[in-house]
Amino acid sequence: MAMEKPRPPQDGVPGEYLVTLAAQVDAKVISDVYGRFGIKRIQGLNLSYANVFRVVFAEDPGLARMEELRIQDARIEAVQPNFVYRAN
Amino acid sequence: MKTRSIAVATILGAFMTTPLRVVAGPPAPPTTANSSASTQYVPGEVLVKFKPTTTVQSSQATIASRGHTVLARLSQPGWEHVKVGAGQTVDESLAAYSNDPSVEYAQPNYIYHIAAAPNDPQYGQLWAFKNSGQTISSAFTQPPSSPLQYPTNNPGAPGDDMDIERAWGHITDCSSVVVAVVDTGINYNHEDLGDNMWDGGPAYPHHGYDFVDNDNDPMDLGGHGTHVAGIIGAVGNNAKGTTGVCWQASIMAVRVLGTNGGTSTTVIHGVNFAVSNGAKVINMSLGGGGAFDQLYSDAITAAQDADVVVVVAAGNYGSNNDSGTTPMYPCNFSQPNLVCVAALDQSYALASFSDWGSASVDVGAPGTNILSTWTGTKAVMPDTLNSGWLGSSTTAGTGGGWFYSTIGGTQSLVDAASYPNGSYNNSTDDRVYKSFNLAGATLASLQFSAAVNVVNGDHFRAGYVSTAVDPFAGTGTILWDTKGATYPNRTSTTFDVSDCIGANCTIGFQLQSDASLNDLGVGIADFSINTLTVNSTSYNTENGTSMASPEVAGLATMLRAYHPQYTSADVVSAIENAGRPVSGLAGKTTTGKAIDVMASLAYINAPTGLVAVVQ
Repeated sequence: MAMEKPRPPQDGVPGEYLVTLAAQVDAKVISDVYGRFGIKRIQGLNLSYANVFRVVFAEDPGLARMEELRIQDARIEAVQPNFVYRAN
Repeated sequence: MKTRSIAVATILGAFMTTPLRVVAGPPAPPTTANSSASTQYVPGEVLVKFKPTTTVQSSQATIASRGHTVLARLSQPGWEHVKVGAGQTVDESLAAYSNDPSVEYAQPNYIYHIAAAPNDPQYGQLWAFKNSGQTISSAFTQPPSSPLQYPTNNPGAPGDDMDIERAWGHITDCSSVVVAVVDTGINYNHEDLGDNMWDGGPAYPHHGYDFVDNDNDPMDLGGHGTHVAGIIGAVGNNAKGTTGVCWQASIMAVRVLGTNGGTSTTVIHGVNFAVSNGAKVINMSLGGGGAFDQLYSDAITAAQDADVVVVVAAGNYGSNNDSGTTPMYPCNFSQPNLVCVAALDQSYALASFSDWGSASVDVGAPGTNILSTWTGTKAVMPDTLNSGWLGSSTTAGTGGGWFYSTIGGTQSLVDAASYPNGSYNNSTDDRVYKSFNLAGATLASLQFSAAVNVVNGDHFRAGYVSTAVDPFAGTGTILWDTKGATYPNRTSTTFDVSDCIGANCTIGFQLQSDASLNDLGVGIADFSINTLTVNSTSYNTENGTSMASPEVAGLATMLRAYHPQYTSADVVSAIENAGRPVSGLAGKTTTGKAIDVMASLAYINAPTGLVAVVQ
């Protein structure tokens, strides 16, 4: 009988999100939409298949608020936490 | 020339007892110069099985009509050992016989090799490769002399292993295929790994990249990645330590996990780096549970588009990944190039810690008491908290300051003296510190537990300085500055103190209060400093689906080296279809099978794109 142990929640790095913009859209739109939360850093992931940026906030706006603003701007395709992974 | 010389025995009719699944047509001959696969079958000979309705005279006539001669009639009815005609190839001859209505099937005259075992001194402990019912010892654990963590089924059942020795009779050199270990990095200087690291050229002189620190030195400062790498490709037959699935390999080190793990960002970069730099197999013994990570999934899809096999660990929570509430990624991603692996113990029972899932987890592989390379030596330096600490207090003489005490049976450092039945002094600055010799260590971490009842305006601090002085006198580093009300609960906390490494690393605690309200104070217990000293000669025995995954990644690498024409789909098919049914995996994996290296090597994927014409 396998011994199940509780899993830790799937955490994201606090205050960090990965924002996918539509192709050719400049990162400036991130500041336009999310600048109100105090952006500390915007870093392009330079992926060949998607226009993705890591955004670090001074204060964590929370995924729900990030999503709420995303759906109001078609230039932003997706937002997700910067999930944490561990050796297993 | 890396290929080990192995005596070869040609065995006529061995197909009757060896689980080769070839029923028609030869495997395409490998083209790699390093592979021993060039001796797969005897040139100029085929074995032909005629239908029962075919008479001996008719079969002899058929053979003669093609310019072939009968070398022998095998003991099994209908089988003929045939010498093909001059100028004809085995491929052409097999095609001709396959189209003959009197022939049931035809195959090459395969060459079988003597099972091979390497001369590495710890090979006898590698039950995953050869389970003789041996007891796995605790001779190689970290910290040294610590007990094995998985005593169940040790020893296990003889024969419950990967069936790899027979495969080593065919191939041990996988160096034509780059395999990436996306993990905590690799100790590329290890005596059993150095010769098998990927050649990254001038751009990557340390055999890979570090996406945690963003530099080109993926040295492993944890041990996990080095252990994984050794399972895939510790140098075999070098009379040192252990051997990997592949005796010769080309292992790319991709560091995406640091002390606190990794993130979507590091893992995505790691996968993309591996793919763009030529890896054809990626191992990821890592995971996170709960939410679907679209961008990580996209990276796996990009690997699929590049024809890369991705092997991942199921997870170590002993739970069902398919329950809906506890998916584990990347295991639960559904791309066809991804193989998710559960862990089996020494009797091929599902390991108690192994995650499983009839839709997400594909195969099982050995994952308990696995001995492999390690990045260095771990040491634990505990302190009994009852001597050697130097203290000072600006309110000494009134009961202020730090004291040795036993709280609930646990030896502790406390402030105030009456803790937890009184309160610390107002307007005090109480300090306590002690020096430790960490000379020679590569990494050091401080661990302790603390119950902290300190009010607003007051401070409990932990700090260090690399000389034998008061850490709070101005030259030290503050690790923690907190307040709270946690008694009776103690919180365990770990800090990196690698900057403190030296002969006089001084660790200290401070309780500083203002003139207003105060509280119970602080109780500190369970104090230790853990060090890692990187070297090139350490080994460790570990448990986890993290260990099972690289057994499969090694197999995938071997398959690609042996069958260079295989696509990622062919490799996955050979791994999953040729496995050995295991009762403990039935209903808990997609295949119900444990990997079988020899069977996978011999497994020939069904040809695609053929059109049958009925005439």
